[in-house]
Amino acid sequence: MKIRQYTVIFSFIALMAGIVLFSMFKDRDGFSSFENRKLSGPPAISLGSIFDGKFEDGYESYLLDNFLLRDLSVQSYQAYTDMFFLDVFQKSEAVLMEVDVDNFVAARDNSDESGETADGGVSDGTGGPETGGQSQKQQGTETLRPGSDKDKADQNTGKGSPDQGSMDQGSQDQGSPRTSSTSDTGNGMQPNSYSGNQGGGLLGAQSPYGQPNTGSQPAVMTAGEGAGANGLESDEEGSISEGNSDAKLNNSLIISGDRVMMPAGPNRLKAFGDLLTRIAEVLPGKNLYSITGPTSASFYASAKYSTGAYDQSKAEGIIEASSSGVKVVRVYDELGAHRDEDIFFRSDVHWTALGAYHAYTSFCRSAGLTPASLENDFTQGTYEPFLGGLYSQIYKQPQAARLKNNPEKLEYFIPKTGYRLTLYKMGNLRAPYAADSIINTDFDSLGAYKYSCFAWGDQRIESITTDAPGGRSVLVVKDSYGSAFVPFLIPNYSKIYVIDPKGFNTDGALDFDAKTLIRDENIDDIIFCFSIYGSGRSIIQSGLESLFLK
Amino acid sequence: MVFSSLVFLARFLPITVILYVIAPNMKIKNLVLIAASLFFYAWGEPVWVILLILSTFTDFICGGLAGKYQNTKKGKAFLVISLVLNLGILALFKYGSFFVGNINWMLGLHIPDPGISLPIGISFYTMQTITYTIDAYRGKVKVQKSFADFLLFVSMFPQLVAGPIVRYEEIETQLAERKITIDNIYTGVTRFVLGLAKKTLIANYAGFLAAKFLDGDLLGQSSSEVWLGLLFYTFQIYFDFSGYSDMAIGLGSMFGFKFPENFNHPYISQSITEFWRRWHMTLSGFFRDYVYIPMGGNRRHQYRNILIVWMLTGFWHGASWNFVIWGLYFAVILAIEKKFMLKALEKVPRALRIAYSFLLVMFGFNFFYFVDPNRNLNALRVMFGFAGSAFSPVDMLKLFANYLPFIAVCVICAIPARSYLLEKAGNIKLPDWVRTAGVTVCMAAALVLSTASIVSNSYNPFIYFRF
Repeated sequence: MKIRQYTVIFSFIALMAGIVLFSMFKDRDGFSSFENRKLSGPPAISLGSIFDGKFEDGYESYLLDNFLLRDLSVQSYQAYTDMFFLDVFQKSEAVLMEVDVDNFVAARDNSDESGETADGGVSDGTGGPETGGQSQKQQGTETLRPGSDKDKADQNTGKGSPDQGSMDQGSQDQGSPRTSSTSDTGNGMQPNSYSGNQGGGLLGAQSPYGQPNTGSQPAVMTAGEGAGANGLESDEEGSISEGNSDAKLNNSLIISGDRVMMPAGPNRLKAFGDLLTRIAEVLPGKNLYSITGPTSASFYASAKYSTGAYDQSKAEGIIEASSSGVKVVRVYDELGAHRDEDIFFRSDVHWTALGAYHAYTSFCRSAGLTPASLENDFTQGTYEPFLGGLYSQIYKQPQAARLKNNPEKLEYFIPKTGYRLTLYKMGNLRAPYAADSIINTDFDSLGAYKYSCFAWGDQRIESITTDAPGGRSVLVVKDSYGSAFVPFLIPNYSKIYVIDPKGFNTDGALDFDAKTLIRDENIDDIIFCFSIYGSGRSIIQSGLESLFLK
Repeated sequence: MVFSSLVFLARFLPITVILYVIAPNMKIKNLVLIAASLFFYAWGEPVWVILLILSTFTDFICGGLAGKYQNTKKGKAFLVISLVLNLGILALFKYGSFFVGNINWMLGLHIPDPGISLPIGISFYTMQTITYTIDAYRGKVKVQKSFADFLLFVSMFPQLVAGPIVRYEEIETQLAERKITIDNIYTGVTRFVLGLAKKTLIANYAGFLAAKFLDGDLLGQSSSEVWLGLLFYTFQIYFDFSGYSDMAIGLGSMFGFKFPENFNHPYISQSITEFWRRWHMTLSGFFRDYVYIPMGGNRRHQYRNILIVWMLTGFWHGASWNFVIWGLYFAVILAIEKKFMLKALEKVPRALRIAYSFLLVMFGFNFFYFVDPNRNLNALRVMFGFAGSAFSPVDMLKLFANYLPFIAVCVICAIPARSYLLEKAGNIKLPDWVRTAGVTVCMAAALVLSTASIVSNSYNPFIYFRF
């Protein structure tokens, strides 16, 4: 009996010593690829922070985040809970969870850092005011303390880290967010010594559309702001929606078999159409196109989530009816005709490259261009196993095992036409750097947001010069949906500019005037390529307004 | 601080144990425990430690004087002062907003909400100090001369924030003198890990599933889903709270204390009367001995006494009407059982008696879970097929079948399966090393997986903290 007691007690002491030991390390680079977020650092200590409990919360977050076997712990616990769900009787469709997409986006402030990539490349700074990417650093110093309320909120909701499923990833660092280079000022606002003009004519030390906004304040979007931005809450214009007013469902993720979907409605699209009209008025003689990507729920969910308030097929009609001077590209029907193909990811909220290709062919028809052939004009690549952002959001749900046990492929298409891609650090036009492929194939560096491989994700600005004949130029203004669309334009345009409206003209971000760019670079076509969800978002609409109408 | 946190497991507990072990004598060991307990309590909300010390000091003085003048008018006066102060503090800090809200509602006034956040553990330590003052007045316990020992009794971290409610008489002698034996440590370690596993490996997942079915749009749920959610909540609350009590008892044992048991497999009860003898035993014992019996117990006004005690029991659980309804719900059932049901139940097979009790308890948690009366009502409507999709036994079976492994684990862990197995194993002669290896491996696996769970579930509050 005594032997048993001593054995158990000493085993307990040894294990506890192991727990203590494993909790004493600090993660080397402070970033979790597994969760795609920045890990908490040691909290600042002060009497105030101790008394209001922030230090204590921060310290617990710090211990948890830096626990040596954190990733393994999460996986082990997942494996443990997976055993508890038989999944023998699958409902045809079930609401998995309610999500507040904008809060997910807002909560990303910890995960966005600018800096050099692990392989020496420089990643674009994060842009969106949602991310607060710039706000975190001033003069290379973090101003948002790790373990802040936002951290806590993440943890409280259990949504903390794998918050990658939203369509709009807040124009975050796509290159390799794990870096925190000391040489990088981090805020992207300082005039710098980059003078190379790798991207062609866009740049120049006197560039008028890239003035550093040095006097700006940190921009961290609050949850409240975020909530208002999803088009479900009453917004500043007082128009809730043209369709859905059921916030609960529109903020839900549903699962049908091994496919996770986010239902969406045609919300605030009249306002979007009006905005495009006003933009068309200030760009006389230019060809404007609107592409609105539906979510997969529109094609694969039951009528409950794809008709009525969730009828995404209305979106293009609403935009067309409320806009003039803009060609609305009808991609919905084209996608519908190919619904039997893998045009949407099952585990991610975005369309696949194939889905984006079908949108591209629709666009070519509208624009009178000859679409490139997927087979002949592109080199196909595949990354697998792929589990997308929606999986990251639902990974705690019992049904998540359906996806985990049946991961999908991420296919990408690299154009054979020659091209040179330039990215801009933190969106600063004076800080260009070259990327050798339109697809970022360093998938390990992309953490849980591997969809961002397309056109390097939600960069604030990119420019591409191509060997395509014709000398035609295009500006693509887009959210993350547009990322998969951009590579297909390379065979048709000699010059392509890509802008994410969230990365500019907000507090803490660079000022930018897209009209000047269009005029100086003599751009022929302007394509607005957004998800149905992104088109209605306040953050997108206000971004467009300040890019074009200021 | 909570037990199921990394800061507790990887920092607080090892440091406290090391200091406790190297402390040369019991006095110093007690000081180590007091310092550790106050630190434990202050972690996260330091301000309330002042209230804890003030409250303890008041009871130390009043209780001491009530004991000195026991069974006299003077003693009674000190007892009353102590009770008024204790219950006054509780009324202000725990029920202030509730009272103000209801007065405003009834009288149409606009008294501002005091907006005081509930000091952690106040419901538990207030009960504990009351036991000292009353028992000192009654002469059941000796007056405590050492404030340090009294502070240790009140603030001892294993039981400070979520019980069990330790009566002073149960721990009186252990405060100054106790032995730490290998048996104590072994019991402490195994009990602590058992509790940790209950909390992190069962209660948390049950809570996750309960929330999945009960937190959304109830009217969009099917009847089966709400019933299943309620079942998971029934498991969650048991494993959460009993797990916490196990950890408290285990930690106490490591430091040489013997705390009272708090749960005794309540879900195998064969009546609600029995359930309350097995569920949160230290609380029901408190109300029995310090409220019910003094009011006359079974001898005088039994039904009135039952009503008052269970209303108070409900109200103790939370400053909201739903908890009062929950208490009254049990008062009614207990009264019915006393009237005729217990006798009637004797004629029913045991399995049905258990099912009867379990279903009533589970149904009762409906009032416990939903603070908002509208949601409560909606849940009831959906459960009984008056809203949401219609009740379908086939759907229910399908839904339950998917979660069968977890339900089975919950059931096995909620019944005295271990005792049954040990009893059976007693007849089988297993080599000692096999048993040693078995216990060690189970303990190690539970501790490792619990730690993994804590790491993966960054936020981990004990639901009983709100009480």
